[in-house]
Amino acid sequence: MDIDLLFKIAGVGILVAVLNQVLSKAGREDQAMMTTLTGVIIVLMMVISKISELFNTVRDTFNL
Amino acid sequence: MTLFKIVGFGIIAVSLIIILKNQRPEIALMCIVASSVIILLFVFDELKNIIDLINSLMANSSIDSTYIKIILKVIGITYIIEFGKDICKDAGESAIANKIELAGKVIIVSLSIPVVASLVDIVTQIV
Repeated sequence: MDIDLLFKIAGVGILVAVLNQVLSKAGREDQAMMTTLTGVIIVLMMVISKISELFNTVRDTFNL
Repeated sequence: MTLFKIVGFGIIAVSLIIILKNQRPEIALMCIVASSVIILLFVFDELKNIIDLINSLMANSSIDSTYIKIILKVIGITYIIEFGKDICKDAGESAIANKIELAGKVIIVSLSIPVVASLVDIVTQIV
């Protein structure tokens, strides 16, 4: 029950949201878009490794 | 004891997701995926002993083990299909969710064809 992954993802999400507000207020819309993309990519990397672990576990238990 | 862990984890996850919901819906979706994966992983640890028990029970009984294998496969397939379908539904894409469900049904039917074939053989022998 590793809850720290969840806190990491939420932290990255909140950080990206705040950065977006700051950058869009400062008038740099493109950099705001960049930070959103990097945030989503980082979170995606974390989640994908977890999903592959889930799929391997299911493959082993049910020998699919 | 594990019950409290799961429910507590779910409530914390939902509260984090709501924070992210309106600013960053895509990261909220990733949070949903991550929390459901973690809960499923936790459940599969418990499920492994149950499946080992079933296998050991079936091993010394006279029942043919291929049927048990097919049943376990179908259960595994439904878990994963359910997982994918609910996440697509949460993201609002019910069309994709229904396609995933359809694919799951097709896979399960294709898996259960040998069982149906053996059933038909048995029936024809009796008649």
